[in-house]
Amino acid sequence: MKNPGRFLLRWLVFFVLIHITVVMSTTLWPGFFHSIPAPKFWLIGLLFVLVYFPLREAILFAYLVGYSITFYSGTSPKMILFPILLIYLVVRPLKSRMFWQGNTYFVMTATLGALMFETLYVLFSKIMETNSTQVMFWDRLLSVLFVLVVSPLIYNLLFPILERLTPEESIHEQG
Amino acid sequence: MTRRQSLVMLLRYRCDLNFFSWDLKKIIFLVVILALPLLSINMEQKPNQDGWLAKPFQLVAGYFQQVFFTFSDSVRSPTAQYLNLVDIKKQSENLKSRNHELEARLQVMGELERENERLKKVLEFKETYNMHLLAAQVIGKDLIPDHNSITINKGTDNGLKTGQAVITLGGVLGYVFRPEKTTAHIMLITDRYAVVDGIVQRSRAHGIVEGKNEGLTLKYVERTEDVKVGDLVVTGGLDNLLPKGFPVAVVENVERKTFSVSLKVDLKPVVDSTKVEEVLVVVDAKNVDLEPNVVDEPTGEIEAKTQ
Repeated sequence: MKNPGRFLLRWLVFFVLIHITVVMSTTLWPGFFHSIPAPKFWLIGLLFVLVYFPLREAILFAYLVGYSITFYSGTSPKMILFPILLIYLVVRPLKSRMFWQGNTYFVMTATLGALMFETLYVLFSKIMETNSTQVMFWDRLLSVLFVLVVSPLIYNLLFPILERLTPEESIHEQG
Repeated sequence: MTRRQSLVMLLRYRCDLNFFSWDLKKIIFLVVILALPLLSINMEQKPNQDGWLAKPFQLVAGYFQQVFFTFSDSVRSPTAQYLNLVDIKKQSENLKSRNHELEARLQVMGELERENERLKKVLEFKETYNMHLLAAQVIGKDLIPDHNSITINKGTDNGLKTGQAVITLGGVLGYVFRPEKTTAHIMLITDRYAVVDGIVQRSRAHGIVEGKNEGLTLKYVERTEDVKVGDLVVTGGLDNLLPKGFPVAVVENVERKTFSVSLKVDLKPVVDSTKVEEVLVVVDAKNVDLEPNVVDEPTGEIEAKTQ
């Protein structure tokens, strides 16, 4: 950690930003669109953190955010933290071998991450929960497609913020 | 650059690139990131969860939802009016725009009237039954679509505690599972983590009502029991969560499997949780048995009332 002040600011800003996306899904969306399921804006934010935050910081921050968002749901922390770990173990080694700048890279990685999240959620539910979730194929497919469509916008919104808050470490490189 | 320097640079570069090259720091880091999810297995969302670790997160979650609800509540009607006005501006006739404005007002009045009627019924309900009820407004829904929980605008400041029943005029909705200072999370009976004690009203067959993503199932009902499609299932009261005799669901399908000791009963909840705006938290029921009063009403009427 080269600059503790900036590190704390980065965590604080992204914590608040992701929580804003969470309340958009839980409070704002149902207020306007009632029973239409809310898109997972928060998942794109979380995937952005896993891809672009400094290597070790990414997973610890994702755990913190992952744990905190369980307070907006009836789900248990393990159902969020395990998928986060596995997504991290795929996207970061992938980034160390294959990386290019720009939003197309994020679109690709975020879609892969979203696909993994949905699959792992069902898988872990079947393994670890007594009354496990249903597959809900179309809902989950829609969720992944939503990530594919919206991730460039989220990238264009979040990347400049991260760039400003992380000048000492290059977020433009592999690793 | 000497040959030695370039060799050192190359080695360092290779080392940076290799995600799985091991040293003590990396091993400790890996142990930490593997340990945290394993620890999370013990952090189940138990109804009596009240740990120090959870407190700050509960506060943050409660605060965020409260603030955004206030914001969305104040923005919703001006947004609707603005959208109406955009439409009106396209039409040049002044009279039409005036007409639209009046219609919009009429809609607001109609909405207020309906809200007034709902609240009046709530008040009547509170006065009829010997229960200490607290009315609350739904301010949020569950973040994960395959879970069914809602957030209400009352919390521990209003005397809410874990395990208190949450009902509507038509039937059972769920129970408080995570009260916070100004808000509370309600586990709906349709959530797959939720279970309540249930009785088939007509035949008194006992079972456990368990949530599934869409609807409910009545489990552990003996094969020999008399259960028919259309039967009303009411709360059994043995779970110490919900007052006895309150409508839960209607039997939708009964399956008698040859090699099973119990029936497979699918239920349809009497309350459509997606349409609920106001709820009642049973602060104190004092072992009230609602059965003689509430279940006399046909299910259709109950549903209509809720909506």
